[in-house]
Amino acid sequence: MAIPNVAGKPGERTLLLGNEAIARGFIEGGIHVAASYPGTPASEILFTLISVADKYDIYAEWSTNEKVAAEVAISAAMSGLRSVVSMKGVGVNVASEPFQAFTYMGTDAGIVLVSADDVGMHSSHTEQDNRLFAREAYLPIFEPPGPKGAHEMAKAALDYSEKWGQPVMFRTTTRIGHSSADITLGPVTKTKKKGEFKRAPERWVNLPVNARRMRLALIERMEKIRKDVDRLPFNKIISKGDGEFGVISCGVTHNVVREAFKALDLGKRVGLMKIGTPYPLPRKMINRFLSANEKVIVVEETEAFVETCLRSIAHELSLDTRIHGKDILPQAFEIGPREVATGFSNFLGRKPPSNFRTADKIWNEAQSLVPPRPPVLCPGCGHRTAFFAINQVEKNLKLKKEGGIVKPSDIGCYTLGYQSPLHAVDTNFCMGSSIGVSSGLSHVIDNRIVCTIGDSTFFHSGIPPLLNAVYNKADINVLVLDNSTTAMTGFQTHPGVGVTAMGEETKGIPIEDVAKACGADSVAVVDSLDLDALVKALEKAVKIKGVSVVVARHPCVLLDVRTKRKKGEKIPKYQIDQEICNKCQLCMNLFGCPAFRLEDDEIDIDLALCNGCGVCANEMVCPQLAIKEVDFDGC
Amino acid sequence: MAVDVKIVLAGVGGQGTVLAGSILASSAIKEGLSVRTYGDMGMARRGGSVGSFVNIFDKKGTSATAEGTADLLVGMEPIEAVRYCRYLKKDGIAIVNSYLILPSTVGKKDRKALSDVDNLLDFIKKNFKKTIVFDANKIACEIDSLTTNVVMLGAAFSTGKIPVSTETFKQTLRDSFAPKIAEMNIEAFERGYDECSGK
Repeated sequence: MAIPNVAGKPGERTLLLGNEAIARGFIEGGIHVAASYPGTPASEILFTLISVADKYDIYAEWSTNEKVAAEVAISAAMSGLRSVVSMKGVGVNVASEPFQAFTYMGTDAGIVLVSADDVGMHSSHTEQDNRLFAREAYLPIFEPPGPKGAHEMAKAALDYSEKWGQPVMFRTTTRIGHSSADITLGPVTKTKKKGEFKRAPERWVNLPVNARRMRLALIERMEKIRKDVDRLPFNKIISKGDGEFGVISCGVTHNVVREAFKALDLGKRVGLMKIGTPYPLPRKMINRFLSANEKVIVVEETEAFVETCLRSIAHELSLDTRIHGKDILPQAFEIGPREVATGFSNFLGRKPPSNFRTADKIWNEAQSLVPPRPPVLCPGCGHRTAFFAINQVEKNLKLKKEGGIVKPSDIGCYTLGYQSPLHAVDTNFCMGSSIGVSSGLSHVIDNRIVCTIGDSTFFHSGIPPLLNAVYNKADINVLVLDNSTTAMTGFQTHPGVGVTAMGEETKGIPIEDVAKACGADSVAVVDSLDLDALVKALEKAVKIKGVSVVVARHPCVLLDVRTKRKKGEKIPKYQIDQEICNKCQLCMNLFGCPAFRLEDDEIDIDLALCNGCGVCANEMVCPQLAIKEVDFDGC
Repeated sequence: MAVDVKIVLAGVGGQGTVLAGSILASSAIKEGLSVRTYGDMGMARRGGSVGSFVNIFDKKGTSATAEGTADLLVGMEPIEAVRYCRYLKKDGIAIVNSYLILPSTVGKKDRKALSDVDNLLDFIKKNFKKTIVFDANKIACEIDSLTTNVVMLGAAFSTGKIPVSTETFKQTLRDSFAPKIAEMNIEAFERGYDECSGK
């Protein structure tokens, strides 16, 4: 995200990240409201809009969750302002209900739902293909091939939504959002800035009497859109080919297919068509392409969405074109040039290109040399201390015999408590599930249950399950890991922080107050880096019958260090005194800070990585007390 | 001659691998060239394996880097250099920082075997035409530990394969950062360049 330049003059050429390009496209499309809940790979879209909100008269907010964000954007649309709501792919599940309702009502101002699907599961727990959701919610889909196309299509999606009075889904993937390209900025459309609520209860109140009428109108509206998409420039037959076989590329696969064509030297012999609106599909163009080719291969990531629709279109038109897709290309994970070239080679009965065979050989050999390197909790992170404390309490209270503490967790940096050596995450489902799952488990098992949930996640979806746990008499301990920011997605604000997305001061809502108001039987607040206090508080909480809440609070170490660096404050550094160290390696085997380095049999601390939390100096981590603060002037 | 250069940067989340890629891309735009990049970005990658792909071209270029096609591999860390070297073409150049960062998730019994830096470097040397190895962390530490990524870029420029002038790159640093930080990074760039030029 270096050097964002979305606020440049029209005609200027600059490097934009895919998500910045999308944001710029929306600015050029004249949005005045933007809402989101942080989530990879969507976060940079709102981040970018916030950075230029004043200049372009945009009201931007980090909402407490995706459902609320959707409602904020929908309100703008109801009031005649162009708006956008962006979220990670799985966030669409949370935002689903308002969109399912709003799609019946239709819109007067352009409104776009950005679904940033995480194909390849870079940081998500499912590879959910939200084209399927869009079809169910009657949202036409705009799906760009890359950052440049995304810039152009974001604006077009707003225009299209407004033209047809229908909300539109803009579907992107991690590969697009986190790519960048040189992009020439376009002019900004002037649109209405001041909202006006025109009372129309027969439209905005979806009682069945109104909804039945709107249902029929929705079907009619979609039929018109279906006929119109053929005219959009985002679908195109690039080359007709010689009729033997043709390829249809969808969204991000377009550039990949071009690479594969190059690698296999297919040239213009093979037909090529690209699709930018997978729903509804451009039927006339598809008819032409299918009629011109004996066989057609659909290249699309994840589900066989377009492929299945093509079969149905071919059937309706009585075409006998053979349609291929998932039979020769993978369904799971991203499709790169290697996958496409290999799939095409097999299809054509050829050997895959030699560079891929060599690369495969190198990769097979390399794997024994390179251990997996999953993301881990940072040096100095308070979450590590919290997980270590849970494990310590389990030991201190001799709970292992009773099957151990069950440790449900949640979505955030702290899911990494799963990693070795902490192993302190037993379950993880979705936002807020730690408390819901704990609540359910407590009625069916005898183990003690300590669940972990982050601050932003607590506000997002943790409150209803906490109320539920109290109301339904669960016996659980909730450890809220409060680092006072939405850390994993890049430090966004939330209701606990006391600052809005736009940087204005607001009421900060303390989690302990919420927990008390929810009726928790006990509530305690401790410093996440105070290991002794944390263990004591947890031991006490575990013994309490009912719902006990411990808030472990310390600012995210990355923010903390950044602030100190800015102020020129020294960051303390810790080192192992080799004279005292007895090489037991407990620090590495139980605490596992990434700053520990092993050379021969000696462990030392990489002072460049040490963030000075000092927790390793605690007796529980180093029984020899060999770790001490040191003077260090280097890096 | 048409410009079409593909560079792969590999490192550990937090080393500035993606940032290095985007500064490089910005400098290419200043030269009037086109760029396409992709990087594993965000806080969610902290401490994890990170790759950044930068393609620089004048007319026709590619946005999706295929295995076995990159011209340069900039390995910010030896394990990550090995992990990503399959993207490099046979006659490509690998520049590797010899400073090892062993994943903290590696278990007790594997730690020793997986810490053999020579083993990792030999693997790259065996498979590719040219490999340049040096300790970038050592140089960076004399300036600021956060400059390892730019020391490595300096080394990459010293191969002469990057179609951007060093002056343009330094100007990009000046345009991207506060003066003090820019100067620090320019020093890091020059130190990396001098360390590896002629190697």
